[in-house]
Amino acid sequence: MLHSLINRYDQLVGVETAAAHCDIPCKIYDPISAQIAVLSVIRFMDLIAEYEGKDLSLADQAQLSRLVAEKETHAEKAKHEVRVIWGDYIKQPQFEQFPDLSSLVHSIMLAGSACKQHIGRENGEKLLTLVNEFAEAFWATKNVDTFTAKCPYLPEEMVVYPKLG
Amino acid sequence: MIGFGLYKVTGDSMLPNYSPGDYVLTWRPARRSLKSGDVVVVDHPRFGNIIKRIQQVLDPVTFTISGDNTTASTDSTDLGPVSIEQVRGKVVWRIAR
Repeated sequence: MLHSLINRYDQLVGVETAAAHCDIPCKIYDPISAQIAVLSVIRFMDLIAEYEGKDLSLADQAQLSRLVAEKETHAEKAKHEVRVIWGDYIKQPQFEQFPDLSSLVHSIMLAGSACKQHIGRENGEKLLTLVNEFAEAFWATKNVDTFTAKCPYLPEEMVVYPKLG
Repeated sequence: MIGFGLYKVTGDSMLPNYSPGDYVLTWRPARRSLKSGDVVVVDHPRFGNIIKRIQQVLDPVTFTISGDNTTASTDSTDLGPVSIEQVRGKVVWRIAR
């Protein structure tokens, strides 16, 4: 009865809400998502470069547009994935372990934007170097050793992986 | 209603004690009167108004909070410590759905 009255009042006037928040902390963080996004960026840069100096058909132009769009999407994805780890996982103990981590993340943001703005492969390579550095620090905070290996697919760039098992 | 507040509960993190759609009446508590186990509405910088239970009183004006339903609640490490200034009110009455 009382609930119905208040509910009526709520519908007429409005009552503030108090969220019993359901942002479930799954605590699943892995920089590999960012690393793969950067590899995609480099791959798209390589594919874009293949059009250099060619006389483009309409279909080529459409494909080139897609490549550029996907390059920018994946550069943004790399930035997003790093931001999530930095914002949600990294806390005081990790900052104490790696005092320059925020500076590194800021460099990644700038390098990611450069990948969106430009098509030069060197931009992608620089972003990958920084994201690999971030991955190395991330795994170190979890006491997981890492190794560097060439990814087994194009663009065959060096990637930092966790040494598991 | 100076000192009082009326809020509608949304979300599942306070189940089974507070369900989505419940209304709660709050009273602005005296400083230093809050204790572990009290349910409060907090103006959180990241999540806005949230309803949580005080988990631990760190000092008279700072404490940690958590949901009753731990399978569907942001935990205190994500919420961070809360200060008395952020408390909009202590829940004094639940109007169940």
